[in-house]
Amino acid sequence: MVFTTYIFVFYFLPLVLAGYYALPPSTTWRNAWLLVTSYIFYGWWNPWFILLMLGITTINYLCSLLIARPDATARQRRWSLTAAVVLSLGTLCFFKYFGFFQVNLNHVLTLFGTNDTRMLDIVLPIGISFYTLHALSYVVDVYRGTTHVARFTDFACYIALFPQSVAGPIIRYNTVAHDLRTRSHTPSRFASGVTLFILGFTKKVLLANPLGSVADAAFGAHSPDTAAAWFGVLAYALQIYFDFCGYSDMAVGLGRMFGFEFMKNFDAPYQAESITDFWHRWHISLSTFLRDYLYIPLGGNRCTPARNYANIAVVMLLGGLWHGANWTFIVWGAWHGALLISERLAGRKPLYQRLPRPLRIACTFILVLCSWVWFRAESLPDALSYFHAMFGCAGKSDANILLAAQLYGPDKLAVLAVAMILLFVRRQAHEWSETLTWPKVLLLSPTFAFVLLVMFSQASIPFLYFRF
Amino acid sequence: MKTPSHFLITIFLALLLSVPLIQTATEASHGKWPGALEVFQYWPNPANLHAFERHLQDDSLTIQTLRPWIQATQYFALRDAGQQVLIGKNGWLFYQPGISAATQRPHRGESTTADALAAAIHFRDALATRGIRLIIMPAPNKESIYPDQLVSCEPQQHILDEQMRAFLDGCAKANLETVDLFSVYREARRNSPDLLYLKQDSHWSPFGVELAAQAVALRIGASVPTTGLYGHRIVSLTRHGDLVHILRSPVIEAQLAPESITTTQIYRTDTGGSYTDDTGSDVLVLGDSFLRIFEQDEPGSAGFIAHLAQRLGHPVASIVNDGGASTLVRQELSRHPQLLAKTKVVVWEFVERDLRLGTEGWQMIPLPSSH
Amino acid sequence: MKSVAGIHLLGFCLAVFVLSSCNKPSYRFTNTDKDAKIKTLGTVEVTARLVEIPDGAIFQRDLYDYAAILKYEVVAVHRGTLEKGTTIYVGHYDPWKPRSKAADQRVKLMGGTLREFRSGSLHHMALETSMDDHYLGGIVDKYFGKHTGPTYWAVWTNAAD
Repeated sequence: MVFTTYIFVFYFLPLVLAGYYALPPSTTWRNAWLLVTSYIFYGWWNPWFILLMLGITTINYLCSLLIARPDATARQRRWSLTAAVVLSLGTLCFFKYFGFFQVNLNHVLTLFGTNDTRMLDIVLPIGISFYTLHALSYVVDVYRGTTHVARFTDFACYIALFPQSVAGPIIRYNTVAHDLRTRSHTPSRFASGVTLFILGFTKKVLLANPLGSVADAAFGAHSPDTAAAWFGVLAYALQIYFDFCGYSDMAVGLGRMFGFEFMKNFDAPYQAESITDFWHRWHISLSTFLRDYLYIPLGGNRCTPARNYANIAVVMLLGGLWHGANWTFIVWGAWHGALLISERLAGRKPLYQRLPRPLRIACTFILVLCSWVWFRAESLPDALSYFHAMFGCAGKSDANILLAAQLYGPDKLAVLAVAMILLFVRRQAHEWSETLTWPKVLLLSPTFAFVLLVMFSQASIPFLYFRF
Repeated sequence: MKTPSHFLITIFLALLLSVPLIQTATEASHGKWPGALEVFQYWPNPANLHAFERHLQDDSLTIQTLRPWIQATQYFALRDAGQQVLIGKNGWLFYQPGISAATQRPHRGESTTADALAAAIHFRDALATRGIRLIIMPAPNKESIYPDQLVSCEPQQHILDEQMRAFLDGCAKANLETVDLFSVYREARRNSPDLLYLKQDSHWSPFGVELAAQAVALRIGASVPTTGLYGHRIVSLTRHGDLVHILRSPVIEAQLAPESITTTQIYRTDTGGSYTDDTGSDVLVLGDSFLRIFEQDEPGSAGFIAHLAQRLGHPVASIVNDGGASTLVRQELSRHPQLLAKTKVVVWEFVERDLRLGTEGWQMIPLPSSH
Repeated sequence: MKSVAGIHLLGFCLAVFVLSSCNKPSYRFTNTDKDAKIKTLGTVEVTARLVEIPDGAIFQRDLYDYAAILKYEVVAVHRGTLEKGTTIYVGHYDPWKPRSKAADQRVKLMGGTLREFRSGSLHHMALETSMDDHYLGGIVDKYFGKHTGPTYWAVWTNAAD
């Protein structure tokens, strides 16, 4: 189920809210309700996926019990942690990377004149990348002693919780552990959740979806000209931001409606003045997760500079690969890793540090734009040919005349202009939703009604991060 | 309301509840149980769940009522006609999938020019074994002939034939007989103010029809005798084009004035009746909706087929299959062997975008066995 | 505290609304035997199981209408000369539409209660033969060249599950 669909907005959400608030105000009952409804939400794509989620939940929970046993030896604790990591990541790798491995193995075998191996057609269960990390963070935290063993239903509820199960934000157990045991519900908190939900909904429906059609047309084109290629990647940069940020806002908003507080996932990332700064603002829950569960365990920056650079490279490559089983994501991770290392070499400053702030932002934005080409392209050759087009090396084609009509419609230009303006608004949705005033409410109410109307005329478009 | 928070929550919940409440109340007033209960009717597998979700949305009274108004607002305020139609200048509309077929890389499973060429050669060779001549006439996409009504472009770019050129060149190399309407229409655009395509429709205008019929008749001419069997009369009509209909918004349709069209209807001079096909003709025409417009649609007998017949001086046989000229017409031909019994010439029309989007691709279809 | 009680009450009302909508049978269950049209239209009346829906056989076509050939296994014969267990091929007009909404200017006489084609489901159909005698238009036939018998034309199609 997708947040911006008729069934979610008009049937699922009212039903879940009704059931939730009709139940006695005990978290046991309410967590159980959220667990059941979250499984329905998740199982809507394919009911069999519920078993997979339940399996990962159970394995990690059992491992956490073994780790937390008072009489467990250090060895037993380590083995239990290893088992949780291997089984969880093994499941993730099988569903997400096995096909990629097979394709590349076949390429290598073909080079040596051997026949292809038979390909297994594996369906990627939605959200597996996210809830696997959720589960692992819990087991690792239990191992580290930074969190206590939860009740199974609380843990299962944390893993399945529908606002964040399929595309984040990547919430660590210990940040919601308190909310799972006891949480307060007040109209102002509920209303701030509604505010974030509406703002996220608006970003997705009014901005991300129309921009997506522009990006699709440019990236799918035979040979876009230079202007079309830059326009397309700009549209994609805006699309992915408003899509993912919109989703995150809705997730946090829904969480608040049910008494949870999730972390902010974006902080005006395109206002970043360097790539280092960008990663403090973009998909914050992932970058902090990678920092705490990968970068620091690898040694972080408390080691030799060379080792530190290697750690950054490993983290960014794995971060790229986490997004999808494709060389394009690995190159995207490498691109960002290289830029981060170059800034680390220059003392955590970009090479364009001496430029005025607007130009620093512009330079960072262009570097990020180029990284999105790798991220959006379907293959490395596609990415390279797109770069060719961006830098004026593409041939002329009749098709570009028609492509211009698909890209530069007044509706598209208007949406792009609004999106560009919103990028540089200082107060982001999170801050804006903290306090509600009458003017804000009088703006939000008709906006929500309007966005619902627009949703009626749009085809259902899933969030981009559902595929990761 | 005590506070902004209370007000916002009330509005939010009211909006969320209003739609299912209206739906339930309406269904109840018609003596029906809530459609939402359909979810309990089928086993919850992905197909059934997604079908349920689709039905819930399709049946929504709120959506049915409001969508046309939203579409109209988007159409007139933002010039956004949705995914199927692009709005051009001066009331011109264009079929977006056709444009995408020209601008976008092929998706997996889509046909290529090579597929079309191979099917054409196979068909030509099969017909040749029976002494039948094949003439291929690709109908240009509207946007290939009038790109300047979509975007501003140089005068030399007023006919875009790059996509079709590869096919026509391939035909020339394979000695396939073709009628190049791009050249015909380029000449016509230079010399005549008359429009070759309808503004609101994805198809050609009566003028475009007549030029095409004339070009094909000229190509056939030497081998077919002509007589004065047919006359013609002017029939005017007003209609909304297919590109208005596929918007599925009565509000937009009501706001857009229908297009006035002057057609030339062909009739038999001996009986006064409108032109009709003869399944025993020596000319068989195969094609898609470009053959249907004005011929089977109103006013009737004013389309390509009738005009070709008039120029040839005798009736032709035809198989018309909307959007199915790449393969479906040949499948239909194989089910009707009698149509080939006396045929000497087959004219095969298909629209340019079918090089990529032809229904069922470009299959090799055997001819029906001759008895 | 009062506000929390307010939310609680509102939630309860929502729950009552939702639950009151439940536990009633769906109106979509229809007794096809009472349908007069299925008894009178066409020359053959069968209940048959839709064996499969081939890839690409049913899709929403924006500009044009078409018919698709679908493969059935006959489960019961009510009228006409067909045998139980026979495989038949049936053409359905604009199969992406509910049968009750598929009739148009070109194909005026058709309908039924079937909402959607799903492989494995049972259909109670009134059929004509041969299809070419009753329908002139686009046919998507994924079984082209793979069967020799007549192709039936579905005039009326009810769900029989």
